[in-house]
Amino acid sequence: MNADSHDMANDGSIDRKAVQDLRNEGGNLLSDLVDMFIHEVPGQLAALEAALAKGDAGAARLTAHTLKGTGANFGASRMQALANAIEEKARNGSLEGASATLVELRAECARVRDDLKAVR
Amino acid sequence: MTVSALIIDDSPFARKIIRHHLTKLGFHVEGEAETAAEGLRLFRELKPKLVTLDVMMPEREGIDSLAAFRTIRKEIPETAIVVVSAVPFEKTRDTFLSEGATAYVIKPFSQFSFEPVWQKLQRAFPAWTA
Repeated sequence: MNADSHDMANDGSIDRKAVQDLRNEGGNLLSDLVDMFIHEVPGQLAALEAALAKGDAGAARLTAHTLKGTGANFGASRMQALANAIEEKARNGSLEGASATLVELRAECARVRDDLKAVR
Repeated sequence: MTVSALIIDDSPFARKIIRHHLTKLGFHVEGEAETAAEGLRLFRELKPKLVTLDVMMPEREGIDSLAAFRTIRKEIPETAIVVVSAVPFEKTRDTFLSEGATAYVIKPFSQFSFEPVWQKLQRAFPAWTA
């Protein structure tokens, strides 16, 4: 998938229905997941950056995969697509261009975080 | 009948969501593990009736998901294992299902994705619905 041309189903960074489904589950599920996003994602991005700096394709693949899964919980399509683009590069053993994608991914994660804070 | 469950997944998001849905259905989640090796240790200690197992986790202590899966199948074959994965690769799915996984669920794990699995579990383990 070309992350840059990904067709966004929403004008925001997250899928409102996915978020509403989590809200409908009741309890503190949505709120807890948002807190988790705020606290976990910076570490995941740092781990990915470190893996790319070392040229460690295996670690980069796993960390990008984790970020993709994190985004999937909120229907964060562009975040998923960018993480997937890095995961695929790592899977193919070529990390060329991955650092540039990471810059985009970091910015997108910040958008997702801000949108989640607004809807929690 | 309260059924014990163990969640093995490296994602804290996935563990939180899976725990929520299993608890809502009446399962008693006795443990969570973030690596296959830790999951295997907890499995041996807790002997849960149901295990949810993430496919793609970092290998630790030489044990990955498939190795943990095969060990669980060998040690207590009647354990229900629901494999949870973000990758819809047919080969991976077929490997787990042909070796005895009860079901294979694609993430994100939700009420809707788990519904057919719950029906399958009820058919396979009628006592669980009592």
